[in-house]
Amino acid sequence: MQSVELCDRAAGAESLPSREPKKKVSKQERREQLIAFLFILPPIIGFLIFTALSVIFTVIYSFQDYNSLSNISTFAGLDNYLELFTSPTRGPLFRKAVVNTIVLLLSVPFSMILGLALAGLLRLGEVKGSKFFQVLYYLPSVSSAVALNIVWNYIFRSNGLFNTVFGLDVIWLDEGATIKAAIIFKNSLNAMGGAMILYLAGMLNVSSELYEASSLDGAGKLRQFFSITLPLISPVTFYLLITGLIGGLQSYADSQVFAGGNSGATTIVYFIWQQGIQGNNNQGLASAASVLLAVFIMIVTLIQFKVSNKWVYEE
Amino acid sequence: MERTKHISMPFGQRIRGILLRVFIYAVLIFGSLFLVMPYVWMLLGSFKDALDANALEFRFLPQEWIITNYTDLFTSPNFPIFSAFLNTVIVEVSVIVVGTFVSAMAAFSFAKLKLPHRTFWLLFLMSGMMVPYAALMLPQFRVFQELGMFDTLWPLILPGFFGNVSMIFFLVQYMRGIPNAYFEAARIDGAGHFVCFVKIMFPLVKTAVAAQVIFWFIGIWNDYFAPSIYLITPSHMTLQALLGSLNPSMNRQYLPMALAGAVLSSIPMLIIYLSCQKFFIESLAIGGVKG
Amino acid sequence: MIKRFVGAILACVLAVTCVAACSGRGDEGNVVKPEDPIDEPVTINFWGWGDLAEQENYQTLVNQFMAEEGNENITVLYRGMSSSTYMTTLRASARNLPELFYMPDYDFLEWVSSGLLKDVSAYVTEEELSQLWPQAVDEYYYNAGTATLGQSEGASLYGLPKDLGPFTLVYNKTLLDRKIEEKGLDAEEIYATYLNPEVPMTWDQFRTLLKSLVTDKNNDGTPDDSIYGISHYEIETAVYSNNANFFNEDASEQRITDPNFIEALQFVADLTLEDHVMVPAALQSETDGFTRFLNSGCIFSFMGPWDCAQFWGFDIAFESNILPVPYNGDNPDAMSTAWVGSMGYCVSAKASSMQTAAAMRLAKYLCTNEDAQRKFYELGQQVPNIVSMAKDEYVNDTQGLLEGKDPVDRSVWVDTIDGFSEDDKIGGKVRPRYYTYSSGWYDDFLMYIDDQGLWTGVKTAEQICNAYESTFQSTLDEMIANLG
Repeated sequence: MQSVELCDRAAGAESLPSREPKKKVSKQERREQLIAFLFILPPIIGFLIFTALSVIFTVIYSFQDYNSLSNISTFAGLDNYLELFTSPTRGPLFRKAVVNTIVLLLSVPFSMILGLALAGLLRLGEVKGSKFFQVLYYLPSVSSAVALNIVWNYIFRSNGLFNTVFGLDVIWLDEGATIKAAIIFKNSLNAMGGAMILYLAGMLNVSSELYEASSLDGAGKLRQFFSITLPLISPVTFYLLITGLIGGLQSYADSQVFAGGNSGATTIVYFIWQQGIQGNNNQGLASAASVLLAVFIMIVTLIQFKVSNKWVYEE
Repeated sequence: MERTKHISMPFGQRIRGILLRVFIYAVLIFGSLFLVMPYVWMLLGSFKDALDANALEFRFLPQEWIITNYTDLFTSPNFPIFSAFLNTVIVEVSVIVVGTFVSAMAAFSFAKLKLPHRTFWLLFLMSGMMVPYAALMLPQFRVFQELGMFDTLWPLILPGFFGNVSMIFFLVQYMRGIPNAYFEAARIDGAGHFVCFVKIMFPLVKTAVAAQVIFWFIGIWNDYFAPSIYLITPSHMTLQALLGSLNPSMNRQYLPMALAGAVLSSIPMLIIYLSCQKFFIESLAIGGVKG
Repeated sequence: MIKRFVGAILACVLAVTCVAACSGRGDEGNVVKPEDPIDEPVTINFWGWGDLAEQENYQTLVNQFMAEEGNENITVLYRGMSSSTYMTTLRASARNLPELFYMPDYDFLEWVSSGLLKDVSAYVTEEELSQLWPQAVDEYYYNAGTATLGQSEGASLYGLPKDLGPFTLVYNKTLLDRKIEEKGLDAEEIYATYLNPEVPMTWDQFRTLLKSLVTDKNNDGTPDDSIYGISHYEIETAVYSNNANFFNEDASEQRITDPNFIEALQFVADLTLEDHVMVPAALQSETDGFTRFLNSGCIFSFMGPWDCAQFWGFDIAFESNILPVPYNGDNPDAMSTAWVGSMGYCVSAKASSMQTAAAMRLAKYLCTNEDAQRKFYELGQQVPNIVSMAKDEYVNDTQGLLEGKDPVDRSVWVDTIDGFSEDDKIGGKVRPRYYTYSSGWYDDFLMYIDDQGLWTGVKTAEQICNAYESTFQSTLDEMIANLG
């Protein structure tokens, strides 16, 4: 696992300043250990309160029914979890949210493919204004998601800019597949710049000797791309995939701002917000959904790390 | 590829090279149009009135250019963009000043001090990055309510005071590359670890810190979820929360004002981005390739 | 520093454990009578919603109230919000409520049964209440002993009505006249038979009218010139106007399988599916009906008195007028029944008796003071609460405040509120959500019928309602259990 390895490296780093053998723990050394610990204490405390304790209470809440008006919690056992799947009213909402969230993740591979293609073009053509294009293409990533969602919603109206420019007559903001297509489109577009920059940086890291050697073997540009470039920049792919998936699984603004709660685009986090915060007085149910989401994200992340050594190139 | 410049090529190949470039530029410019379009559309829409913006037929330019959407944002008590700007800056400054110091200090300890079980603690902290905010939100929401901090900036500021794990992680790596020799002289002179950190390490890692700060700054500037659940009084809102309260998906009539708000809230970000563009792209590239 | 951090953790742990335990109450004992002086300083926080003009007006009225009271002890802090965020905000503040706040009818039961609203019976006199619409006052009675709504033995008053808002049919007169001319129809006949403010149309008449105005020659579901007959149709209105309902009187038994209920739903669906005169669901979810109407994208829509402010505020380039809602002429028991929304001025249960007294004085001022009520209708926000004022001054515009302002036939709204009489088949009813503990079921129902394809013709109303019957019944059971 990448992170563990980095930590090990960190652990192996030379410490300063004492060079005494490890067995004897001197007073001075203990003092340094104490100071070292004090230095990391604030983040640890922050973690304990804002992550560990919060997670524990989310789990506790998920076994309770809570009435926010009367402020009474009652033990509910597994009811909330069962309700997510079996309730005739909440069940379909949750199922939709799960399906939507997963479908919307498509923008992750799309943005990566677009980014990779763009990076390839920039590299291939040794484009003069490369920096200019990089700055421009990265712009959506530093822009506010709310602002972009507001304007994209406007663009995707049936009488809007998108349909007009492309001469289409599609109702994008409908409750079915079209609204998801619209979100995937705009998210792919917004994220491709970041992918492009990272891929380009990765490509520049690949030594030109490898290319020269393979051109001597008669390999064309395309073959070089697939046999040399792609494997060598796999760490970038891995990074983009993992951050993209973790981010995508937590998407909220798309449902709330772009889609305005449209049931064709509700995500899991939107469901949690709707049940727990917005006024449905269902914090127990929301907590159960967030526990499942957290577990799911952890599983996805761990699987990725496990599988990564099969395809991610390591120096 | 490097060599193609110097070796004279047959005519056909040169034509092919030129065509290739034309093609590449065409693709890049075509893509740019897509990226610029939302911003242009945002700007145009912000000068329309609500009826004009919501017209049932397509209209490119405003029928009548009006600026009331902008002036309303400065005068209306419901959408006070100026106080939203101030609130955002308050959150930014307090979180970044305290949080960066705390993070750098922790990174220093991880990288350079004899911290027992350091791998464990670093992993411990990093495990939090996997936990979605949604799984933390409800208990925090209730506690902040109990503490009377609902509808204040505290729920956005307090967590930031305890540092930022990804910043710690990057700084640990960066600090490890700094030779110990820098500190040894100071240690011999009797300087404490804290002094070593403040006087020696911090100045040395300023650039790395700045790169992280800039990404954190953007993250906070554009943060929407937490502000939208904690802030309900318009004058207490951050920019993004305010924009969210103008959400035209909920109320069509807000559309042009929301677009004007989007323009105004993007301007500071754009200025920062464009003036530090090189820095941005490089930091991003380094972060991604290393991470 | 460490101490502070440890303190912070402790505070958090403490607070979390506290959540389950504490819920305070204000002093219940002594009541400050309406006529008693308020002789100690009280601050009243007052929350409401509305667009900017409405909020401004409220601030003015609050200032006027403070000036007229002339009591330095009373301070009112008004806060207006947009209606879309209001309930989320109020809910999030449930443990720290303002002293006086809006409570929409559909959430009243949940809040009153949770003990968050103050019994204000002692703060108003019969005389004060008698001048208001009786059905409006009745909505804010609740009997805690039997958990029933409305006036009954042992019931108390938990709020004063802000308004009663009938949601009736509205038409774009300019567009309609153009259409009549285009189609070569007889304007006089149409106005006399169909658009009579005193005689509601039947469903058949309404469909006939729409089909004659809107044609779809190529039969693709979109009218020839993309101008629809009606933006959408209020489900509750269709159901009520076929003498049906979602459930029985105390909301304990479902009634969605009642043939009248099914017929009403199918009627709405067929406006799109068969007649091609109503905006299809997909387009409805994209652009709300009111926006479409404002942009002359349809001839008919629905509106309530509060929408007037928007009409007058915008530079709308057309005339409009209102009509009673259509009813099913084939059903002998059916009458034109629109839904009538309401909102209460409610007081937090935690307010002290002095605060309650002051808050109620403000509420009474807003609710029963003639000047205040006049201001409200002048700004196009509501029909007056005072019956005599609504029936004469408002309908006939005796003060000349509504001159040249649409709609002209304001009597439709007053008739709708006033209810049925022997020679008047126009009436209204509170929305069904008012009768249930929580209101989410209605959205669930809408989503279900949408999902099942009622609006696209995948399934019929009959199939859908029969399939949903048991689910809906268990939802009702659950809500009753919550209430008990």
